Amino acid sequence: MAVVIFFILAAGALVFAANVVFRRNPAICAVNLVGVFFCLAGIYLLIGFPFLAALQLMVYAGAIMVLFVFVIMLLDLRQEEPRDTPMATMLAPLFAAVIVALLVTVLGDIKVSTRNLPTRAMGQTAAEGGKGLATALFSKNLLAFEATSLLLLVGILGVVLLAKRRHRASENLDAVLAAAKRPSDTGDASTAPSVIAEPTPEPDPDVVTTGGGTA
Amino acid sequence: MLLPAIILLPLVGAVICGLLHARGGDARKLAGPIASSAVLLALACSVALFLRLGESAIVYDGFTWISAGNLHIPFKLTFDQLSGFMALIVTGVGLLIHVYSIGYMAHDEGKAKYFAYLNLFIFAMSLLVLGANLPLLFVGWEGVGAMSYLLIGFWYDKDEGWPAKAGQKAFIANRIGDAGFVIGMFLLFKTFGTLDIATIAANPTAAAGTITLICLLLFVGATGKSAQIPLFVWLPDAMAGPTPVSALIHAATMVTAGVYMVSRMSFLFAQSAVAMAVVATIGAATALLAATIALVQRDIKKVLAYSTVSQLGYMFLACGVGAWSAAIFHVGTHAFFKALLFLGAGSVIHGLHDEQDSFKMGGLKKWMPTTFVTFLIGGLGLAGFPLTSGWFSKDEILWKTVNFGQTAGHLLWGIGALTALLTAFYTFRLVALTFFGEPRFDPEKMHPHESPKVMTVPLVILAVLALFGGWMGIPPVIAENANWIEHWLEAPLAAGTAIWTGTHPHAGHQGEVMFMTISSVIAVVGIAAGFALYRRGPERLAGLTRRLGPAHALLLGKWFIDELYELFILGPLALLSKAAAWFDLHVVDGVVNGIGRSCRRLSDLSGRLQSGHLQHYALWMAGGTTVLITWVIIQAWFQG
Amino acid sequence: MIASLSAVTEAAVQAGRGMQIETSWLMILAAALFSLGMLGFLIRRDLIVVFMSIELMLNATNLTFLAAARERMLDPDGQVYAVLVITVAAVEAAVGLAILIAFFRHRATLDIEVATELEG
Repeated sequence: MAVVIFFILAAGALVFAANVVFRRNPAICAVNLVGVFFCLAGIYLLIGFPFLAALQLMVYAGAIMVLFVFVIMLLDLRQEEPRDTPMATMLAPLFAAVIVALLVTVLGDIKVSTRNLPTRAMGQTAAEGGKGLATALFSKNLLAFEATSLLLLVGILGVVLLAKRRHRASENLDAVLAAAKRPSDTGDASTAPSVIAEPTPEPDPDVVTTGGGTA
Repeated sequence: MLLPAIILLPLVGAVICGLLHARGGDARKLAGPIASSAVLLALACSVALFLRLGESAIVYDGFTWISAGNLHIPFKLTFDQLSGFMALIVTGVGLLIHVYSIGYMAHDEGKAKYFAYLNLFIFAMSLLVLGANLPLLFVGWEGVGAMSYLLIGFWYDKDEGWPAKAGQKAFIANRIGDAGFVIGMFLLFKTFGTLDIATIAANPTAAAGTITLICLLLFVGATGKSAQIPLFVWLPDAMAGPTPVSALIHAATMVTAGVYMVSRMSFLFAQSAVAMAVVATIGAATALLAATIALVQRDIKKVLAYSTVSQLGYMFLACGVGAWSAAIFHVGTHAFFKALLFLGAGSVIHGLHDEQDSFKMGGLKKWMPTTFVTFLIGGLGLAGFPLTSGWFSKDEILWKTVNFGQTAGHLLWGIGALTALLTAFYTFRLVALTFFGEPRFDPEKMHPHESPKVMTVPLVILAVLALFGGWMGIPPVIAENANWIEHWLEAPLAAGTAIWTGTHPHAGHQGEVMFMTISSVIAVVGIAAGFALYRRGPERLAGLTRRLGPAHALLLGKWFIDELYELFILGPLALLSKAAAWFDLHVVDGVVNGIGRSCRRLSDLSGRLQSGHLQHYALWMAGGTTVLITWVIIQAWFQG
Repeated sequence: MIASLSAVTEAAVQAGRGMQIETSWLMILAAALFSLGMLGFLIRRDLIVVFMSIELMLNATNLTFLAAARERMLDPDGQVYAVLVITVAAVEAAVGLAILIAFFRHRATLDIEVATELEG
């Protein structure tokens, strides 16, 4: 039974993935990607990792794809232009096909094996589900855990910095840029967004009071 | 202290003249007197040392010039009988020519430069004859070569740059000889471990083959400097320079440097019969060859130039038969009469406003009496008229040649005698064409005049020397123990004469008298024939010239030796250098540039890898991954 | 190949025989998903879709991890790695989208052909 469901889910994942790769409209691609995630979550469940199935749905489908969709809507993306076919577009499928073929030849024991692989029910008990995972995470793999959390922090900072609209550069940066760009300074920052933005003459209340703020 | 002064005084004079030249204007008039005074002082020093010279040489050992490993070369000068004699000639005749030049170059813009060069020449020549080791001698050797180049090409703008080309020819021919000289020096150092002449002379023996090779190499240098076969071709062309230069450098002094060097190294040459034979043969051959060419030349200076080559051949003939003192004797007398002849020719050219073609002269004895008389005396000396200086020295050489081995000695004597006949003939042909007969120019237009005192006085002094200078070498036939020069030069040549075994005096006093008579008869006959045939100008012999057409053309064309060199040596050399230039430009540069170009192209190509398109980079990664996976699988498959 | 397929169908028919999901099937699925993701990354022109392909590839690797972990259920490390991969993927998606937005502000388009400033 599980096998049947597995095949259905696998086929679904493949179909959805193909749609992601081959459809023109990015919104459709996003939705199909969600489909892939769902199918995969199902498969995780089938092979005995319920916790991860839940995590997959929550994080991937629930957070990451939401982000993607937000961005697509924010930037109002339309249909993608087709490409004139340079060499790259022809080589890529070749490499992909070759890799799949190779991997399949290596891994391709499609035969039924005699080992006893765990099922959903067994997975619940064997590693004690989420409990086993949590214990491992906080003891044996603590370093990885901490590093990842640091990474998350840095990521957050980076995202905030990158996505901020650059009206208000830092005070020092302001002065430097002003000195460098004085003749061409039009004080017009909102219409021409550029990485090195034109500094505006308006004072930045956040930055001026460096000495007076602290107490 | 006097010894280095001989060298330094002309050097100082040269510097002063150079400064005067740089200053320009009237100051340049001082150059002549200053230069002459420098040489006069140098002469005084030479005379003083000469009188003071006793048994052993006067040596000046100065600073260490080169000290590198085994090679130790001090700045050391030696004034012995041989070098002293040469120094006297150099400074003495040099002084006379300096004084003469004051008059000759009076109207020339570059006269201060001229006198600077002339003084530098005296400096270099003195260094050559006074050097105690071969490197110093070589420095002087090169120095005179350089000065010769500068002075030949002194009027480098005249005649579309011909004097400059002549200077280059002289320098290059000298250079070829110098290559041999230098290699000889290397070999000498390798064999004896030192280049000090006295040290080698004390112990000169070594392997026979090596000695012969060294001597031949040194002699190659001598053929270059002293204009012998095969490198004599520069001397006639050197007449492009001012006449006093021809007198000093290409008659009296520089060209005799080769003779001096061979005599200095007599102890080496004496050990090798082969080398001596080569020297003698080349000397004799050159003497005859040059004399034949001089027979038909029209230009006064060219006749005298070939005559010089011929007389130098005599000197080397003497060296080759072991008669080094006779060779040096002839150097001295030749300096007297040849310088005299050249200065006389200069006087004629000066008086005729730069006319040099003797066919266009004639009857000048009327207008230039002093020049005529002195020139006549010089001519008698050159021809070997009895009791002139030339007669004594030439006869000495011929006598020593006869006293050499059997057939060879006789053959060489025959060549020498024939050459003497030709010499007498062409000399008086020249005298007749220049001073006798009807003028073949327009006296009204040319206004020939005698030269000023400053030019004629040196002529007179030289004439006296040419007449009576032979008395320093009176042979024993005429008076016992009166051969001063042979006795004087005994000490420096002792090593050589001791080793030399080639002389076999096979005839006693009667033989000597007989040969002396033969020489005198030859001289008189030649003089008479030359004079008689050309007394009334060259047209008389036009018929004869036509009948002897091919022979005449051969001689007039200098045996076409220059053309042969051009065809067989210079032509291929030019082709070779063109090929080398092509190779250098296209292959060597090509490789270098090619490396640069290919690097550039490679970098352009590599640069295109970075297209900026992310997906291209990713594609490369994908490709790499594919290869890796394939590789791993293959490996596993082979192992499994 | 054909023999294996017939084996599978036969297994499916005899469903009650206690057939199990083979690890190799999971791996093959993961390989296919990965290749699809790589293909999308290489040939798509829209940056958003490129990012989505990256997420696809990450999921494929996650599946591989879990397929391997399934063989050794007593060792929770496999799941730990899978969790960490999901976390890192989340961060990467966030940062990547932020960059994407900045890029859009700069160039007013999300065409990957426009992003060629790394050339030379």
